[in-house]
Amino acid sequence: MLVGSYSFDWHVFWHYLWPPSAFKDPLIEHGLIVTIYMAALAQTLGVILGVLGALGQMSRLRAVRGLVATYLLYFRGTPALVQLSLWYFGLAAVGLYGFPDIHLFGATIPGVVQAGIVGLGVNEGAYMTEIVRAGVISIDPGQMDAAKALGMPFTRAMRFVILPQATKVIIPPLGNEFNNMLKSTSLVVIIGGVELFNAYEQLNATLFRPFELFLAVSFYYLALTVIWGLIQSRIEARLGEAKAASHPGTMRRLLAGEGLARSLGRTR
Amino acid sequence: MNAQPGDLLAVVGGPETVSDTVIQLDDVHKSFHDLEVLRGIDLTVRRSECVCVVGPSGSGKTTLIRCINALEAIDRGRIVVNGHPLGTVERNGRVRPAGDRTLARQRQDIGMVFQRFNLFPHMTALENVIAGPIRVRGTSRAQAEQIGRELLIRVGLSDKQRSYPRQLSGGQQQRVAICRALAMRPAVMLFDEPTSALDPEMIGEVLTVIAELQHEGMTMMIVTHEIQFARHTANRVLMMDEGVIVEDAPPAQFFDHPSDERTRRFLSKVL
Repeated sequence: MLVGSYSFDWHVFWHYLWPPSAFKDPLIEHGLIVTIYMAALAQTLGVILGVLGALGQMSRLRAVRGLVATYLLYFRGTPALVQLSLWYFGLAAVGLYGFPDIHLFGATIPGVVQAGIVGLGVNEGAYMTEIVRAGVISIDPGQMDAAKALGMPFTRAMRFVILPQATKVIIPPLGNEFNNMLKSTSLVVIIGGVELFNAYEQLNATLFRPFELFLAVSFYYLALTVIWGLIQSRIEARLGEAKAASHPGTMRRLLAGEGLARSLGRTR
Repeated sequence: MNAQPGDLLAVVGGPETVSDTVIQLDDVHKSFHDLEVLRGIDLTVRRSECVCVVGPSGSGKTTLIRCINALEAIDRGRIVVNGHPLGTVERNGRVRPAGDRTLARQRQDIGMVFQRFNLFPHMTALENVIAGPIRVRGTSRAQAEQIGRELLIRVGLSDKQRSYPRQLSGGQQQRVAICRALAMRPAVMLFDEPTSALDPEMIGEVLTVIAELQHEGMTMMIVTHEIQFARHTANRVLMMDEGVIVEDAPPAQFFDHPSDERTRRFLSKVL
């Protein structure tokens, strides 16, 4: 097939799209696994930082609130690419931390991947802070009154009364954040991370078939986000069942294309 | 309600009051921004007294009762509950505002029931009742559940233990909320308009439980619009107007021979 003067190589495209043949290249299989676990761990870190950040924003101590405000300002105000470079190259250059490989249970977590998890996770934490905060302030202040009246200190009231309720508000945007995270992992190529996008980049360096290869890899990201969209719909449907019996079911929402539309999601 | 509530305090082991004066307020002031809501409140509530607070809306009743649980910090004056100064700690002879953990400890002896119930919607009725004993008092789950079940039975909710608040009527929710406060074995119970959010047919079932508590000798302060309830259950009735207590008398005197003009005007409207 000819696109302009470019002849599309169907063989290369299919070979690197169809998993059984594509996975013969260990780079691709490995890259896919790294992408998934990097996204999962970075998102987990982001959620933890988000909860801490939201609690910090409510602190009575001005210093803590200031720290959180500075964190949000920097990590939401600068590109993730720049942040990743600063984490990996910057910290090493000033001799603070060089992200050495970690060997754990017979597996190796390369330094770049760790830097990717930290970099994306800390970036994500800034966005999660706002999401958790929105969840917390959506809860009726009477709930905090009741928890306090029982003699609960702030932290226990948060843990047992406020956060369990806020979770329902936090889950839907959290799902969207993870969709975004699956795609953002590709940014780690800037520091030389060996993940899915990098695998195809390396292939392209030897095959010189950018259109076929990058089209093929985009389908892998699409698969990840669509699958996640289905999982997310199920989680939200289950949450909805707990909230109200009349909540639209998973199937109906899938047929309406909501899950898919959300999977294709937004970009930051 | 299936049965008359009975022996509610026996279930939790009775209140622990250390002194005859359970609540004492001296010259309490509270402002929200420029608006002074409490303008010098002096008040003493003795053990086993049931004090009803009435007055027009905006008179500071709710603020007063929230201050007695330190849900609002006071600007001036002193509140002592069950022998302990509320909202302050004394260290090296200097009085300072109490921190979060100290406040939490001070509130453990004070039960509170809210107008909007404020039950925890993600917990069943029983879980609501045992949340305080387990998370605050450190009671074992088994013991807390036993007490919690017993309390719910005595307020006529034996079949609602596993129900979530949204599955309960307003009257049922408020009875669960009373049990939740009682389970902490408080020295005093504060009620902030406990029946104002209820449909008329449910008011009785909640007032019955409160009257039973009064009968059993629980010290209580109740902000209410239920004038007949105040007349029949209270030991004392307070009238608040514009941030001050204008009348403080036993119900017979309060309703039949009020001394203050504002009380007479208020009563002529509500009776």
